[in-house]
Amino acid sequence: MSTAARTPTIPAPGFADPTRDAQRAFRAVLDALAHPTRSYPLGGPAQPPPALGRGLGAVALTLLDEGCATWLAGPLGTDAETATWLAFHTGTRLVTDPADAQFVVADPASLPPLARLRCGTDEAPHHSATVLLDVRGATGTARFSATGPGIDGTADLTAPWADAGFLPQWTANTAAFPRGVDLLLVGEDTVAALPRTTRLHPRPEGEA
Amino acid sequence: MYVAVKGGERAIANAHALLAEQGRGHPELPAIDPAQVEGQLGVLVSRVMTEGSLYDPALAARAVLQAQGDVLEAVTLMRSYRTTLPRFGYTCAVDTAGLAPQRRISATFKDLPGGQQLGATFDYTHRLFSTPSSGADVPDRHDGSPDADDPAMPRVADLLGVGALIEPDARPGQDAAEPGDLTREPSVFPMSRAERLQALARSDEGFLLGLAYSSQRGFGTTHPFAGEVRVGEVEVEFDAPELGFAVPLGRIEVTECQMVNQFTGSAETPAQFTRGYGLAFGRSERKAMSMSIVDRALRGAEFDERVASPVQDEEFVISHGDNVAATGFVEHLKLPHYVDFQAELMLVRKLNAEFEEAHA
Amino acid sequence: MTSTTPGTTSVTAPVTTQTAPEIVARRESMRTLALADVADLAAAWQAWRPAPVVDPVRGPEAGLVMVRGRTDAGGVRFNLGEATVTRATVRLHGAGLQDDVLGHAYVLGSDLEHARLAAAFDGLLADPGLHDRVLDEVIAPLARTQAQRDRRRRDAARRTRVDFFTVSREHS
Repeated sequence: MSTAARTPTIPAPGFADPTRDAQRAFRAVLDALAHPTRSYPLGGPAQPPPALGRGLGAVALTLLDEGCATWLAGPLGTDAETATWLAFHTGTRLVTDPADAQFVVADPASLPPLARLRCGTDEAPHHSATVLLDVRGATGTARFSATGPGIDGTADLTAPWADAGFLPQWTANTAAFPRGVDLLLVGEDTVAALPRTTRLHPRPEGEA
Repeated sequence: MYVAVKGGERAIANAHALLAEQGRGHPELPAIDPAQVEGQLGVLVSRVMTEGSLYDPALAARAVLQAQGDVLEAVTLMRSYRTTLPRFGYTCAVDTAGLAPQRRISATFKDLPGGQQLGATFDYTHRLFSTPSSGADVPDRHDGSPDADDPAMPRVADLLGVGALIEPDARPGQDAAEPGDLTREPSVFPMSRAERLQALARSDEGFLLGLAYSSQRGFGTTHPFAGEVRVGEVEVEFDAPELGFAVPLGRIEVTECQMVNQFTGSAETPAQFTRGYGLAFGRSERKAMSMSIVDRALRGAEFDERVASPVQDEEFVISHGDNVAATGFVEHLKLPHYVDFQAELMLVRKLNAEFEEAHA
Repeated sequence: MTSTTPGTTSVTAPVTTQTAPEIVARRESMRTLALADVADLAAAWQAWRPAPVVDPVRGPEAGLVMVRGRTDAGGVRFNLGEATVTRATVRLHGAGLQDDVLGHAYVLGSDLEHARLAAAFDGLLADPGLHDRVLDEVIAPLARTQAQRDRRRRDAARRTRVDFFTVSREHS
């Protein structure tokens, strides 16, 4: 193709209506953080990079901008289409060390130990990382009880994305408050959240 | 401390309606179109853009109209609006010698290469009211054929630079570090000169004018020469990451002033002239001149000068030059302070009672 | 003509592989499009036949750039203040185009339509079959109009040149 030299890439469009779609997605993320463990519907861009998917695409378009650093974990980190698409639409700076990132995009298998991420300081706890966890297709069996601000009593959390090592890491994360990372659990069309204020407790298999 | 107050919605709505009515003026006269403000009040629009720290003549004109001519209110509108927009990045540094200026004068060399060019200036006007006329108020232009050639207009400071009679402007490796950006990081004193210039560029024109004046009158050491004043359009280019080259965005009008100051030299440095620099959006000559005087005055530490006057005090100048911050703090005094005042009232009553008791 | 499905287009060489003369030419046409009057752009787009399909990829959207100057005009850079910029990226396809093309625009100011039209013409310029026609029918006339406007401004300014000092000149 003769125009290849000039336009090697045609990035897919972002949101159809950037302002309104981003506002809706922001509202969903806000609701999710206000009511940890609850799932909220998320409308995404029509043609996101497949590796990223609609849900993560929507959250990325909404939260990332020129002023932030993002680390893409695992297979996403080597997906050129995702990198191009994110840089083109959000302007975010992609970094190679998760410890430098304000946003970490990972799937359960590639999620680094939470302790390796930025957790802020007691004076500036907001200088911490937010993890956008890709929970599509997770098949685990973990279940937790969750307590904390935004939860009336106790909430049940089905967490197919959590492996055996997750609970101790999360317990350490909540113990470090006000420092710590926040977790957004992003599916194809939903978002739920575990902010650092949410405490998780093991819940035996089969318990109602 | 402030207390939350509730209610008053109807009164507030009515106050806003009254404000709009006052701003509309006589209802039988035509309303002013923003394009008219942009075209006919260009100097005011320039000031709103400079202090609003946002170049957009059409928006600034709307701000002036909506603010009913209150410069600070218009500046605040510009500052508020910019917070709603994403920042695509930083432009390449504009080349102020690149395009033919509209105006270019020097008080140091009468016959400089390229010539003195007055441009559109209030200088030499008689400051007498012109007679109101019915529209045809543009005076005749006296013809005279312009030069066929477009002579180069080198910077005046470069003429001095040749003989090392002035401190150099460019230094090797000067673009290695990114300049600090006060809109992204909080002000920390002492500042770099680049950060100071950013703060001065958005500082209140009146405040800088007063400080520059104080310096000339003796509260400070600066009584400089206007090496060069330029007004003209410059091209703005931006390195678009997805394109991989600098994209020309268009042009903006700027006013630049380079002040030349005497410096007697030191044990290490021979006597040479030093510089003060001013740059502002649009036609902002007074602002650019004041800025360049204050910039030079704030360089006292660099030249081992005695720092004794307000204009030489970086923290004083920078902290108080931002008129949005200044008016916010001054005008906040009209917000409810009922609890504070009650506390002070009780204290004064108590002290009075004690006083009377003691003198009974 | 094959239509590229945007979501699955593979990433190939970076744009920086362009040779310098192409960049020079494209910068020149982008400058002309940015400086053009939006009414002139709209008229040129109306007149362009056959009209391709213009799909938005990004924007048009308003944003900011921080304008930089140099201390003492030639020294270290400093941040002068921001300027509004509107940008657009469009994908063109259909009538008259050999293949899908991408057009970009960044234009000072807040006029979304200006950026969209500039991006559309930038895209047309990327088509080898249309490139010369766009230059002749759109870019060249716009550039001539701008040159005339610049000339008038410059002449008016040059008429204000001071030559009433008649004492001997130091530099003549």
